Amino acid sequence: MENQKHHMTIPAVIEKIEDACEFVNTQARAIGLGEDAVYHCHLSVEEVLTNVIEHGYNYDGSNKVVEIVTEKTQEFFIITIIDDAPQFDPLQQPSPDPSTPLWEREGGGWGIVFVKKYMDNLAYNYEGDRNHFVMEKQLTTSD
Amino acid sequence: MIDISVSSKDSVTLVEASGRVDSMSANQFGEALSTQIDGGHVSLVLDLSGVDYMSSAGLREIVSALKKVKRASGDLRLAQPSERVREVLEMAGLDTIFQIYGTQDEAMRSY
Repeated sequence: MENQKHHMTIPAVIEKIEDACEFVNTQARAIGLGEDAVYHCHLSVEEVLTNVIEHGYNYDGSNKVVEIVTEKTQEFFIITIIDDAPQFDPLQQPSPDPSTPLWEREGGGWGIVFVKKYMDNLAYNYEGDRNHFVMEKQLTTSD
Repeated sequence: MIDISVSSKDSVTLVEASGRVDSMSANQFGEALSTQIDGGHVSLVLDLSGVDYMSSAGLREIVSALKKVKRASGDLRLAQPSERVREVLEMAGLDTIFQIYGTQDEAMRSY
């Protein structure tokens, strides 16, 4: 059976992240993911897009677009975030330490930790001068 | 979107949030906490029972508010986070940094 692919593009600004999350939620529900899994996808998409807009485009992405692609395979719901910000692989960054004392905390880096926890497989590719961040959620799990 | 209401009892200020604390609403959320601290209300309880979603942007705001209130010799204590919010707090190790209470009443009486 042919995979079902859906595309959306948003301007690379914080105010449009919710539109992308709603798009992903709609696709995730349409293929029958449970509400916990939908929540995990929603939070992961928000975290990745926030990083792209904040760090990739330095909050100056109103004339840039980010593409969001969803795809259903037999085993996975796959979300790919594609942007043309400078090459950056979030999976290569060191994770913050949860035991860091309050006064040493600088606030950042937790988003990717949550994405690693909530999604089943992650991959990063740099192709065609664009960052591709791929997140897979297993269809058989409800969490 | 997030709704915030503020009330006080004795010397403790209660901030009740409801809705979603995400990258779009985090600033509003942080400013609401900051406004209380700037106004000298430094014994704070943040009731999270109505918050069903908090991303790292929201966590950044509560950590920033906690630092600010502690510099003013106060505290920011959390009450009844939902299961989802508690999970992100735990992943970030914030369950050991914040005092978290199971009920609003317990949090208010902890001062």
